[in-house]
Amino acid sequence: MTDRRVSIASPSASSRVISGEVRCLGLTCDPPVEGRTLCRLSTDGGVFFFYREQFPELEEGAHDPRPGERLVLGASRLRDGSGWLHWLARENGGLHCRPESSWSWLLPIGLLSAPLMAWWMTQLPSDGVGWMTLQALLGIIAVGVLGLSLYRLAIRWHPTERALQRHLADGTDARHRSSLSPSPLPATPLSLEDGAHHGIGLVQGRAEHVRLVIETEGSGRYRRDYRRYHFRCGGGDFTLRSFHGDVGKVLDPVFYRRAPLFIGEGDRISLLTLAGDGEVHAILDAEDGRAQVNTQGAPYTRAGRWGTQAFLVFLFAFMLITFSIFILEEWWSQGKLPDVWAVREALSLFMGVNVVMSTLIAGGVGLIVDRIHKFYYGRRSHLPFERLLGIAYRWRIHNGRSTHLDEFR
Amino acid sequence: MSVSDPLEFHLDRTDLRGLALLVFVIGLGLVYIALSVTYRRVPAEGWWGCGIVATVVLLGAVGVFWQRARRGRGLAEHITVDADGFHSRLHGRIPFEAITGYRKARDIAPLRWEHNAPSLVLTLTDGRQLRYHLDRRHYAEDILDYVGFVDAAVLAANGQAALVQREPPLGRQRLFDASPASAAETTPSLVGTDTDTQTRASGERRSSSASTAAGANRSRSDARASSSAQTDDAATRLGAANGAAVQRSTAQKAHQRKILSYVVLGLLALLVIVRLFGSEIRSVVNPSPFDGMKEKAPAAFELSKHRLARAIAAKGPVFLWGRPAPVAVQPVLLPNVTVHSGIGMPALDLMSAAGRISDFLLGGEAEGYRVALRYGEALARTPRTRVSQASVEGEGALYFYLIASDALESGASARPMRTRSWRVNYRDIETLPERIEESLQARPTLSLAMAEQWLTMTPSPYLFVTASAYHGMTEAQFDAVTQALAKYFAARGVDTASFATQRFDSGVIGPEKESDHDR
Repeated sequence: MTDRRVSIASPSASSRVISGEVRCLGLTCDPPVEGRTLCRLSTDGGVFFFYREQFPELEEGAHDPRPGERLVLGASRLRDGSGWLHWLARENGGLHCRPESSWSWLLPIGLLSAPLMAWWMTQLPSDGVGWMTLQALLGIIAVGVLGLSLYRLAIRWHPTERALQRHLADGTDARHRSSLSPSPLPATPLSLEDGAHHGIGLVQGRAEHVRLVIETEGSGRYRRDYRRYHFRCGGGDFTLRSFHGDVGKVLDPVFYRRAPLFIGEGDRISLLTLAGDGEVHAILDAEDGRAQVNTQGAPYTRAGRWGTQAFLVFLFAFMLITFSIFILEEWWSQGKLPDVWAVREALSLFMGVNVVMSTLIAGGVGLIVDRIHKFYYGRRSHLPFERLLGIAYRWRIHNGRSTHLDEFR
Repeated sequence: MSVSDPLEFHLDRTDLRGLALLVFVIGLGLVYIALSVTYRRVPAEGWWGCGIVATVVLLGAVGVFWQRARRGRGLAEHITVDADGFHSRLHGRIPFEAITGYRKARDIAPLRWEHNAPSLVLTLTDGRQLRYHLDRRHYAEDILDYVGFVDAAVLAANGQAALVQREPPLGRQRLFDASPASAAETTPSLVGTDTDTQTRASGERRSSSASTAAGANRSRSDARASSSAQTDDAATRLGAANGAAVQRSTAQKAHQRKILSYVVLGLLALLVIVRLFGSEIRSVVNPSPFDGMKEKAPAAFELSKHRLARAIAAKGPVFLWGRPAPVAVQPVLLPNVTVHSGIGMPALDLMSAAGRISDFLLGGEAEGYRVALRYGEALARTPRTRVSQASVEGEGALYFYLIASDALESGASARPMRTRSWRVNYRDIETLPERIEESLQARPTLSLAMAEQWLTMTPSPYLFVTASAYHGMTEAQFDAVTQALAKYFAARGVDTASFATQRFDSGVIGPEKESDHDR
């Protein structure tokens, strides 16, 4: 209900793409990390994220958009209402685009060559190790080329990408240029005083001295990278941490749906900690209106639900496929079409076996996962996460935004 | 404070929907059972009619419940908490003293379980039960007020209404209400809010928050002047707590890693132990039936053998008729079963033999006994029959053994000729000659003519005729039998003058060679 109301009011031509003319309010960038610099462009039409390295013209920083400059931009919409910048037309006529992928030549060649290679593979003689090795190599190359080509094809045919290209063709033309409706920026802070409220610690102020470090835990296969923000807010030093490297390393930005964790230097933020563990669990950023929360360790989280549902679906699908293969093979070996009784028997057998085995497996795995969760997060399960989420939701609603919270982990 | 800010949220009678589901599932089961029981026992038209009516009634009941549950959604509740109770739009004024008990649980939606909220049942002194389930459709808007109310109600039900009074529940109004009166109401305090958080961390926080509260009270007199200083103070304190939390989580991670490494080490040790002592562990946990067979088999065989000997000893005397032999000749009773089926493993064979003897004895000796003949170290016996050889009323059984003479002279021949043996059943002693001929005709390997021819040759083979009391033979009957046989053989030119009758007290095999004989 709220979602619909807010999406109508939000500055967007379509539900996937935000495009139009805006006025730049400011550009904030993270410190560069591993050759990538996450930036946030604040405009009167919303905030837009991008990697500075996406646009070769912006890499030096000398040509950054100035506050007050008129910009025409195209961005794909993220879940929380902000956007991921894809192209940017400047006042002076310059156009910043993502450069064409260096793999784009692969698309037609790959689509053509993969079936050719498959056909060639079947034509090769299959006697001798050398021929068979060649066949295997051809097969692997064909599958790889086909996969990459299909990925490029998926990007090219993605509705977001096509809408972006359409808007790019229209938007750079001055006749079709439309102005984005202004977004309700900036957001109002909470009117509570700093300090502890019902188990929640609150500090409001400007985020200063933002530093970003990459922390590494474990080694080898168990290596995990975290990005840890250190910043100063309202006189206290705070730090928070999230997984690093999930967004943007592999996927094309067309597929991005989650907004990244971002703390801009000088942002007015409301910072919520839980008194039970003292860690920063929510950052309500008044500059871009995003609520970034961390519910790690809460008993029933979205990520936990995803994991559970994915596991159950996988279990069911795996058993369905295995069972179907066995049954079909049996019918095939009988050499005649199964009658209705065979189908009924197979169905009842499948239901019985599946129910029993699914229950057993899910129960066993659930017990193990529950113990592990208790081992790692047992102390956090009683913390007032709901009040924290409630404050974040109310803050989003109060500022006229959707009830989507950005979870960082 | 007098009256708190209003808490607004929407309620849902979720329990009714759960009840609808329960009614549906149980009703479906009942209808299924009833219909399958009455199938073909009542006329078809009546059965169909009853089934349709029952299904319609079930669906109707579920629908009524569901409809009531739907109507129960979205109840707008409006609560104000004051010093000694709260005022509810749905239930009216509820003083804290009226709450006698509460039950707190959690409503979790299966498909969107991140939208889960506590559910609360308050029991009042007048017996009423107030049920609170948050309407999930309004989760994002209402969860703050709802959790504030639930926590306040639980505190009040626990008799800690003073805490509620000191710190009113946090509702949506206070979040963005910038009026100075309300701002003065908000006293940053943490005492008692996380009563169920019994962690070390909260303990630390609580001690520090006590000083916070004291500091807040002190500074309220000149709040305006020192508000910025207090803000800085709170921020510094929370920042320090955050730093401590990071250190603590690092230490906790190290601790967890230590425990995990211990667990991994333990698992590795377990692996090594299982790998090294697997057979021993298996023999304790799941002993193989072959373990210790070599030790157990002889004992088991001894036991079976003794049981068999006692059973045979109870069967009474056995009789022998034949000419004197150079070695000791004795009729013995043998079970009519194949005791020995050699598979080449002595322990297993012995155990199997013991088992077969036990089975024979436990089976009431249904297969019956046959009379075998022991001569010297060897044992001659009639073949096993599928028909039981137990004694039949009015029927006598004689066992004939025809043994080559060199077999009885010890060391005379390395490979004696085969022993011939057969059994003769008879009812009337007069018909004995025909019975003997019949029994020999039934055996193609030994024709009567050959046997008679052989008996007249020199050195003549030894012919032994045995019988037992087990098969109903008495001494007098055996004498009559031997006379008849003597007459029979004399008619065929066989000299039976040296034949004599011997009586043995029991057909038990002597203790020294039993296992060999059983094979």
